[in-house]
Amino acid sequence: MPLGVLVPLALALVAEAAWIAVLAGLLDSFALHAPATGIPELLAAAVAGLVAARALGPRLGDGWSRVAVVLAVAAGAVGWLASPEVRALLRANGVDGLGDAVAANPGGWLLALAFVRGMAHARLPVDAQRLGTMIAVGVPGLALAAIVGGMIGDPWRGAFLATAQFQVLVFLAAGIGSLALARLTQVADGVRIDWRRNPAWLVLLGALVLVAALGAAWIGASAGTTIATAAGALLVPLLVVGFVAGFDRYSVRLIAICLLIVAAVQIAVGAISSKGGFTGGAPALSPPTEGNPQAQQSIALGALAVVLVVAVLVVMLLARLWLRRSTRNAVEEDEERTIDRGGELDGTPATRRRASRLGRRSRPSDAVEAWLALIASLEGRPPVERGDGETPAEHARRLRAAGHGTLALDLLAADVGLTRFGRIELGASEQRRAIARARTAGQALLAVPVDRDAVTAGATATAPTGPVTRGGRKAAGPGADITGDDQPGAEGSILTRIRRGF
Amino acid sequence: MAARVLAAGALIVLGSALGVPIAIVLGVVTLLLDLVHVAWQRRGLEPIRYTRRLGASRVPFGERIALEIEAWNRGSLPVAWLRADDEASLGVEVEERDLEDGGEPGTSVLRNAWTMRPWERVRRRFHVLAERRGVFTLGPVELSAGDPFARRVAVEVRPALDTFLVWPRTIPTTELEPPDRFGDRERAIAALAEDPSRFAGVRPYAPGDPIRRIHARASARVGEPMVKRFEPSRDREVLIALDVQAADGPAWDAGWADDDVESLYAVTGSIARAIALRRVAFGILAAGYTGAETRIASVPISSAPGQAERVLDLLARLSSHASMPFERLLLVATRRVRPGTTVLVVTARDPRSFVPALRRLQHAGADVVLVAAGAQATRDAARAREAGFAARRAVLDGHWRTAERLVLAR
Repeated sequence: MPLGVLVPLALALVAEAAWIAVLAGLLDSFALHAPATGIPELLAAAVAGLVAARALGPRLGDGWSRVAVVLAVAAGAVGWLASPEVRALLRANGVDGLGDAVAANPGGWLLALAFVRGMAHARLPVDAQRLGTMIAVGVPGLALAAIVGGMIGDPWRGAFLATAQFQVLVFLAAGIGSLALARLTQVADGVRIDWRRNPAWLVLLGALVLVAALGAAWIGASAGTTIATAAGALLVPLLVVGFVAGFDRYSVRLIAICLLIVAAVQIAVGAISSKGGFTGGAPALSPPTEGNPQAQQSIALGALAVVLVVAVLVVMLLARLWLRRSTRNAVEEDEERTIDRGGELDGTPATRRRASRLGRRSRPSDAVEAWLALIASLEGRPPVERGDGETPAEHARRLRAAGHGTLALDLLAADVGLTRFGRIELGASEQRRAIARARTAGQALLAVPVDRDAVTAGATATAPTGPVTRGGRKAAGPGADITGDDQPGAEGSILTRIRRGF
Repeated sequence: MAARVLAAGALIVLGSALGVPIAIVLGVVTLLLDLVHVAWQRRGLEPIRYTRRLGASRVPFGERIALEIEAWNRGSLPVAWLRADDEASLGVEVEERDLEDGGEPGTSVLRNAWTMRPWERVRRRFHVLAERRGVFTLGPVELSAGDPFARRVAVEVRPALDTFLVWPRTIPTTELEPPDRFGDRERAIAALAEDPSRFAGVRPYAPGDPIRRIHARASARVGEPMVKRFEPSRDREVLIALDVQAADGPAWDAGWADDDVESLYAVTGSIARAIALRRVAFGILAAGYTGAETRIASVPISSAPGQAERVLDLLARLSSHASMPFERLLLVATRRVRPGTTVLVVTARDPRSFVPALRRLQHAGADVVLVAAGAQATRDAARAREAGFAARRAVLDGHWRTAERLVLAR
């Protein structure tokens, strides 16, 4: 399996495990137990689901669905039984203790969900749309889970939130990363894009994910109260302004739904709590963690930072390794990649190189000097450099024919021709305009990419040699006496007019 | 996106109000992703330069045109992905790549995608196959790019268009009988029709020859008076009249016989090339559509360099169905040809339907030679001879796509 497919898949499975871990933690917290099922176990279940779907699915055919159900239930059972408390309860009470045992580790059953979600990624490459849906549903879903979990009484609330925050950040980092890579592999509908060729993008992506995750975690940890205060103060004025300015129906509906959900959740949790279901003092079991939840949050943040930094470093290292491999592929595809900074040649700006060799050039004072300075700056930059023996007009004409011509260069060449060959004195204002034209033409021509093939071959643009009529019809060989537009059948061509008889 | 930003804001506010940092985290991350997206959207495709270069604008059938596609990220930031969809007209084939279906019927798309580092310039080389006669276009190109999270941020259609012609297949032909030059009897005595710069040899003196024509040294060597001969100032001209219709019946009801018509074009192209090699002034006239307003396609008779290419260009542009009955085209030819012109009528049909038009052409002073192509060439040539016209059979030694030789037999 190519690494270009494997990495997004691995990240997708991690993201799947992360969001399921939040749900598992929520269930455990509702049962007044410490979260027992984490990302590693769920990731293992997801991988098992993927492997089973790829290995058994094609072989079993229609029977696979039944087997999948059995395997998923088995995975859930394994997750449930992984808790020592469950095993102890079962060992002590047998079948009678089944209810208590189930309540002791409800999150373990979510290994079945992880197994099923792993199966969903069996078809490779990873489906970007599926990942997009996972994130689109996962973000509000996790937010809802966190809000619901936040209503559980302490210390379960603190334990849940501290664990879930790390899991959420892992979900976001892995989900966004896998989605980006999956999009890249599918963007071209069959035309492969090898993201390993672009370590700069990987670094940018990693840095953005890192900054977003750490920034969000920091804001979440430190600025929550401030935001709440500011939002509380601004809510009523904003709503008033919003309604006056005219919220569209969709926005109003969205706000109303959000408020209704929050209110419903608040009422539901309050009702359950009042019956003594989720109070801190009710359980017989000891609270899972001791200590300050704020401190736990800080520790989780620190751990997250370390994990993310290590992950970025690993990705960069791998990208560097993979880059070496993919360079070989590039040669096979008849594709040539170069880093071209436009105004630079071999990494050194051409103008700077010339200046260092010849010292500081004085500013041109007339049209001829300006033209000479322009020609000097174009030297060694095929195809815009002047060819041997080319007159200013020929040079300008060649560039125009090649699609690089500018009016400024044409006029400058005319000025030089008048001065040099026509012995005509240009006025001061015309000289100034010529200097400005040289500047304009230089800007345009220096932006023309350097023909590196010509540079490496030591070739320079040359004037036509042999029996050639410069600028004449014979210059381009047989058939040059008829332009492209004058081909038979072209609308308005000479031949068409001749045929029509007018 | 506005809904997403609104939802992110709601999450942040809700998380803050309820003291749930996770909701704030989710809201902030969503907001940051959208901010990056907006920033990249503003940047758009500005730093991207895209160039497409075709190696030639016209190509003989069966050959390949080099195609180079270059994308250049002129920005200091990487581009997650760049996609270029070059629209290709119907019939364009690229050797290295299968074309995708285009947005509009009858079009396809040459799709390229890259991930690009800062300042990176990528060149890809392809070969466009000329497996079909006609006029083909590449372009415009639709460029799209992604933000750092590989979401599509910008789409732009750049109108650069490249057109190339695929000439019909030309096949080596047996020697055509030289177009009638002014022979001994027809050689003009008056100098008006002779080109004194084109010396053609000597002949014995005949009464009436100008004295200054006597070649002194040749006369001394031979021992009798010899006079200089010159080529006529104008060779006989050849006009190819192509009958585009490959099946009998009215022009509007001829249907599609693509293979037969292509075979006819291959024969015509081969004859045109053979005539051009003899440096004879020639032209072509056909009743077909070329994309111009007129229903008659023609290249005027000329012996200028590039005439063969112009005729092949016309054949490349010509439609596979007739624009008017061939008889009417021959009437047009009658008005256009000068006396003495040889009209090569290339057809794959029974000539009896347009014999009257051929006679009119003959009466106008043209020498008519019918070149019968297609499966019934022998029959058609015989019928032309029965009607009193010179006729040849154009026989290919195989299918027109693979034939190696075209024989013009009696």
